[in-house]
Amino acid sequence: MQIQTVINTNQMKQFQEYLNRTTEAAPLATFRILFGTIMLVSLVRFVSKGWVKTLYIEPNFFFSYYGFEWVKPLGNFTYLIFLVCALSCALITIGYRYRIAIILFFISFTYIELMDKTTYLNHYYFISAIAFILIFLPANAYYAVDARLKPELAFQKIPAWCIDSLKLMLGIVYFYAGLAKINSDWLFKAMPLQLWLKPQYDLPVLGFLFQQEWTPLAFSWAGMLYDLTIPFLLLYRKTRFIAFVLVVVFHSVTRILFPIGMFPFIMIGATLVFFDAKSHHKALKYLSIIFKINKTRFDNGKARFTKTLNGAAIRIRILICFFVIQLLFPLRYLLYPGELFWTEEGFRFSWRVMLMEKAGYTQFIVKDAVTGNSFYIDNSEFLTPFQEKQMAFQPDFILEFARFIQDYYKQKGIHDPIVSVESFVTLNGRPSRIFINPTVNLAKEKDSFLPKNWIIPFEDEIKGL
Amino acid sequence: MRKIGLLLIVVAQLLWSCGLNNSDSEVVADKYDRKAILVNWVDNNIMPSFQQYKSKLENLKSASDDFIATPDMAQLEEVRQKWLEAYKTYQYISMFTIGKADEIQLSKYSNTYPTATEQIAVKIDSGNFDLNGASFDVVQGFPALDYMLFGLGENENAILERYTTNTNADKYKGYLSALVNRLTLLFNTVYDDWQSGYKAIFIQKSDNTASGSVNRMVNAYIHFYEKDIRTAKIGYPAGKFSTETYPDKVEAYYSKKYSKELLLESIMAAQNFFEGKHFNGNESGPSLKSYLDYLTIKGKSEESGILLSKLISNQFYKSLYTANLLLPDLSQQIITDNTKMTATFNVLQRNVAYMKSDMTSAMSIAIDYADTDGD
Repeated sequence: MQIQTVINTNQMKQFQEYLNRTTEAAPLATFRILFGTIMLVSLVRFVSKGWVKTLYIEPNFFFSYYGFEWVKPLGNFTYLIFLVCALSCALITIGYRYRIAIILFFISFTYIELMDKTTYLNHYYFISAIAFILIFLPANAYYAVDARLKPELAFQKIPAWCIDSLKLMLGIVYFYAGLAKINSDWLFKAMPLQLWLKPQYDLPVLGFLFQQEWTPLAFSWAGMLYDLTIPFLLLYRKTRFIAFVLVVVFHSVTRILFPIGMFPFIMIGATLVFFDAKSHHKALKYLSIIFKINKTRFDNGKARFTKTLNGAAIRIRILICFFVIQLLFPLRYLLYPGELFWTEEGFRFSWRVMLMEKAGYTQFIVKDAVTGNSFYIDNSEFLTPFQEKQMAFQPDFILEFARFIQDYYKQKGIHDPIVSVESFVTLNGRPSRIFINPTVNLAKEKDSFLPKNWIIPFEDEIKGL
Repeated sequence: MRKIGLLLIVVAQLLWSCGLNNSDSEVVADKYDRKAILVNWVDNNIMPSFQQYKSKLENLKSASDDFIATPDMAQLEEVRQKWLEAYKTYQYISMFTIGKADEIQLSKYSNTYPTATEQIAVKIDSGNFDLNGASFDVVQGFPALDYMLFGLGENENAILERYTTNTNADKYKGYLSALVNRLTLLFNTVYDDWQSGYKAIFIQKSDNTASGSVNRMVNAYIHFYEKDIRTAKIGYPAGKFSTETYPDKVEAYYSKKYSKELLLESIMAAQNFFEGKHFNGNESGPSLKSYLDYLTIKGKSEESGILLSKLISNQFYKSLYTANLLLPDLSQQIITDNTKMTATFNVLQRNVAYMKSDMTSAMSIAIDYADTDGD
């Protein structure tokens, strides 16, 4: 008992020491500038492609995340959310009213993300996670308008944990993405990569290689090893440069091969945070020349300390909770029976990227329990082709739509509509097979975190983590 | 940077391959060429069917002109014949809702049924035959002609009376002529666009993106199969999407004998396109079928032991067989024995699943036009 307490106080002391360790604020400042700029570009790109209209204004129905049913697009006011989000990006970039800006960004961006889960992308979730962390970091202490206007906020040095928490987040993303790739489809069948690479025969050099049987396999293994090792290669000074070259190569290749928008730029920009302060100072110097900024003003030698555990404790505690959740949440799939790729219970928010080629077909049938009459639903009457496609292979979407259908026909005067579905799904090149139990009345099922026993079990096996 | 990156990864992959035991890898066929599919579609399917449709419409036009000049029974019969021939050929061209046809909504204005007979009567009465306007899709095209040629009266004489002794005879003739002209004009816009450059653009866009021609065409094709054949020709009238049947919602309802024929033509059109069969003749060229066979990956369809392309082709044969058991007038079929309609719907349905999930997945084709990001 005695020893336990000693160790605990020792560890506590070490932790307190770690919290008090300071480092140059420059990497966090460049991170802030890059983050704000890239996000601003992303948002402008998103709006200018007309996606706000096609994804959030034109559809009549939106798929909600469990517990976030109240988050819906606001008609034409949806543009306003994008405007707020873009403006906050601009403020973040220049570091003016930073705290308010980053909170506004986090809220507006996450709101956009939650409006319709049809558009779920891991990298949107990544942005939200990073924005959440940034709320608690003094990213305006250096090379920021805030620091210029309020000298009491200006610090050349900040606690080391601030930058480390960003590194940790990036490490989690890569490492978990790597772990998810350790499965028999990915490593031994080269699925789904071979499905995606083979039709790209018309790329120079690569196109030819993609027709060889070993190429997708080699890409699969390389991708898995890359994801698992890159955080460590970036952390370790001697391998850092080569690791960054790998980051650039990897994300450039994915950018060429797949329609992944801004994600490669976000990741390449984010990994720069691993570099030491010297290179960041250099970069900021160049920036200062271009924009005629007096950089030396910020090099005041002042260090900001994490006050006692009591002072900044709330901040630290929130981040610790956040990271515990980050580490555990992707593992929730272990609690579910059935094949993860098939049921997708615990699939999202777990850094499972590019793991599946899944497509399906769903035909809903409504039966009037009183008269016994039944009829088919034309999905396109309610859903966009994109929504229909995404729904076809994701059980929670199917359930949500079934319940919507129930309500719709209740209003149309069918007293007790029975909603069932005929569905086929193909996963990673396997022939399509029946997906949802066609005898189940989905109108009576409720969404929850409990296993969905109305999914027909996957007949094949995908071994792995 | 990108180029250097590419080079690096290529070198890395080459080095990698040396370490792998490659002895049991299969001999891989030459790379597949999507451009060859596009060329085959254009040269042997799209343009020949367009040309035939164009000439069928010209025949219809001259027959209707003759009829308007001398409205008698023989001429009426001639117009009907030409209408049927054009309608049948239309089944082959309506799937190409890409480019101009998509832009001007050719199929919406050529074949929206059921046609709105009351609105047609109002239009004729008013003498204003303007057919431009989104809501006028229900008063024009083949279905409106079907009504004008077969549905204006209880019997042949009553129909002919409208064009001869009726006080509004001139207006009836005028409307008939307007319908034929509009049908022709719409298609000619599409035809001319293909002739004057779209053909080349279509073939040139052979990339694998959402806006690539194969991708667009597959989407248009599946839409045609699912919505125009399965849903419109069988599903809606047979009451698959409602609690009651609608015998009056079949295609070519007023002629009362051609709906099955048109259905069979459309299924054949879908099958021919899938298999890359030439429009004129029996040879086949590069197609979705051969592309699928090329992409078919080891282990694919192990379960059934049959290639996916074969499954789809077989399903087309089954569909034709089942549809062939129907009465010539599907409307009559619905009234006497709707289970045969349901059976046809079900065999058609299976191919929707095969094509919408398995085929698009194998070809990594995005099943929507939305060019959104993935991750």
